[in-house]
Amino acid sequence: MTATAAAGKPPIVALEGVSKRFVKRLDVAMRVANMLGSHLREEVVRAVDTVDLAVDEGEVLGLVGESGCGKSTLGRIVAGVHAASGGRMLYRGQDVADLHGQQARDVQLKIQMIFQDPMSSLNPRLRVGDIIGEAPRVHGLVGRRALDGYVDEIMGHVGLDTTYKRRYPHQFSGGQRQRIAIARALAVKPEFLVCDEAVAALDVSIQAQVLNLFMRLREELGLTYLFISHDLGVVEHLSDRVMIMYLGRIVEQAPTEALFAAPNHPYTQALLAEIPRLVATRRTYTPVKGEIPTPLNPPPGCHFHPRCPHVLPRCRDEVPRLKAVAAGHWSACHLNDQA
Amino acid sequence: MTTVAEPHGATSAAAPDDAVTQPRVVTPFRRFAEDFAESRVALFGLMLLVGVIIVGVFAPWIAPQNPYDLTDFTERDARLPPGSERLFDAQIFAVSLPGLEAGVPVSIDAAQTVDPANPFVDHLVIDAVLVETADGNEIRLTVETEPPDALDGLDTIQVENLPRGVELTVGEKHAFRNLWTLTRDDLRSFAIALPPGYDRDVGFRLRLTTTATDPSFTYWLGTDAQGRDMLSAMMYGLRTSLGVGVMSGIFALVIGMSLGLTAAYFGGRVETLIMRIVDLQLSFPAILVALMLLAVLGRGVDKVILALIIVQWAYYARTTRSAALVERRKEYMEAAACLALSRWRIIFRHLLPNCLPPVIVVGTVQVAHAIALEATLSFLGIGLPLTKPSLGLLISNGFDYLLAGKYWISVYPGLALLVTIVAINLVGDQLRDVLNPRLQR
Repeated sequence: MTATAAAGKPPIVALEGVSKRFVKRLDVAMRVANMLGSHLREEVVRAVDTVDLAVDEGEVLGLVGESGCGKSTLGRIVAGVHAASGGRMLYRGQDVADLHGQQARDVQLKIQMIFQDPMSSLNPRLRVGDIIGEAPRVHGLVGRRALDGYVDEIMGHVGLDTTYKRRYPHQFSGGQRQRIAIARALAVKPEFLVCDEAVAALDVSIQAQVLNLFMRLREELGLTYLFISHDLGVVEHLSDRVMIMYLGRIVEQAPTEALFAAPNHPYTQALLAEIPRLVATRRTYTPVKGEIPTPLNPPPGCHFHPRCPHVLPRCRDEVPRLKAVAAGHWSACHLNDQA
Repeated sequence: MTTVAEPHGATSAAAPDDAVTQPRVVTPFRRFAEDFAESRVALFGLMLLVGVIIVGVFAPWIAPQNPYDLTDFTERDARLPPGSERLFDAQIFAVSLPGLEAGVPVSIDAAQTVDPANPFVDHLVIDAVLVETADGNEIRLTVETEPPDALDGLDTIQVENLPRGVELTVGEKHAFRNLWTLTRDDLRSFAIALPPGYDRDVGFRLRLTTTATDPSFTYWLGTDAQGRDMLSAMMYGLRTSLGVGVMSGIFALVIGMSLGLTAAYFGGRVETLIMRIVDLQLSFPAILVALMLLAVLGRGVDKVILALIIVQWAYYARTTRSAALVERRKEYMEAAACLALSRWRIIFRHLLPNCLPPVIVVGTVQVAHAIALEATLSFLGIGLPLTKPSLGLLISNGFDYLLAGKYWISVYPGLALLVTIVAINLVGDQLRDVLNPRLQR
């Protein structure tokens, strides 16, 4: 049940029922303790819980959620850094689990990731030229002789001075570092970029530059983005379509304008109410009640029900399904059934 | 390694190129060197260490004596206190008296065979005549020296290498060796008694020794029980000690780092297996393990190095693993996985270089530890063989004479060991401070 039914062509990346569980296994001492009568259980975190999504070619899909909701884990599954513990991931209609060797490597290179902290995402002991040039050289995308010119070209693409090639990452500012990280990803000619809070660690002025760079690259290279952020303003500015995630599940997805104009899910409504506005009119500040529950022991039924202002009895034991509330607008809330 | 505070930052939001004005170029190494030089004590330690290493490495070229060359020292110089001058070598004159006929006097100009530069006696003129007596023949000799009063400066005069059965009529024979000691007057005129029927040629060596010393060679730190120059012996000993310490350190580092990286990168059962072995290893005192190993392996430089590697690798493995665990969770490792780089490349090109700083610190301290451990083993007599004297062995040799007041044989190698280890530790401590991100300003 993919939300966007692009006619004919399969989506560039699709997830079907993808889950990610992190299990803390019992060690020997705990097992012995269990034998002696205590009741220790394995701790299982469902970081991502049966998520379906589809991203069409050339699209920017925004993924929004509070910290700890599993959006970064989802991004890493898409980028191939983490393996999913359940479900399938399709790249242009092909299951990536079926690919091996050369093919698997090619698909891996087609999907690249930009990380949040540009300091820790760059190897501090490599020079910028090596950071950018390593993967294309190792994978034989460019010859040894052409490498220098290729790195220059990529650096020019992202607006980096090519004379900085022999410097180390720590000699750059945050914005420049993020440009280096982008250049590193672009160097293997990707089609899909996963941006995990890619501008969250930057100054506001630099954020704008990097966001504009993303948009320019999208036009120039025809890139597709999965843009993960907790910043609704950034997502609104950038995305064609937005997904809202809460405790490992997608609770709402819709085209950007539709979502910001008419949010359906109570969680989305609460999030949107909290966007800081420049117009400082007198308004009541009503935060979402309580903390995000621990994913170790999520509430049954709808995960949001302990904090939901419109909670119904059935929310406590029945998991709501994503249902269309308008064209391309999907929401997982029992309230929609009542209307 | 360190983040350089950038005073300028990005200039304006409007410019698409956030062309940062050039940050002050401070290479990581330069920053590191400046931080290191902040401590005077550490600089002093570094200078000491460099000095010690130079002395050790160039010992064969700068040592006044080669302690391995048995012809280079004599037992006469044994246990001389520091500052003593070397005694002149004995002068040896070979005298042969071929084909003597009774009653026909022969004059011989005896040549000096060893150490012709010895200035005391230029040469000897010996007159010999064979005289027949009732109980066998005698050769009567008179000896004159050139210069005439040269004998006055002599300490002992000895005759050695007389043929079997032939005896002197004067002087004292050594208790069991074929060695006769004469007085100066004896030498002027003495006789050799031949047994009846003796018909072979007679020859002997005259050994003249003097108490005068050679002002051109001073034992600045005294001599040991074999008459070796302590200074030279210590230089060579330092060379051996440093060599053993550094070699074992390098091998232990390579082995320990590889295992530590493997444990941190792969995790799971591999990690459990490796780290439990490390725990097991570290739960025994190093000296005990080394003692047991050497008891089995026997003596030898290679065996000592092997024992030290086995004792030390675990420290490197544990340090590397802890550093690698931190680095492994950083995003550049995920980025490398995202770029489909091979495991081998990720471990050795991305993970390993970033784990180096703490390992370098542990490495310096461990080398000092290895040197001390080797000295301990040698002192106990199970470390290096006698032919490869290390500082520990020198200390051990002098230990027997310590209570006899001959302190220098033990104390000076001990001081050299102390200086070496203190220098390494001073450098290591400052390295730890400089490379520790928590202490960075």
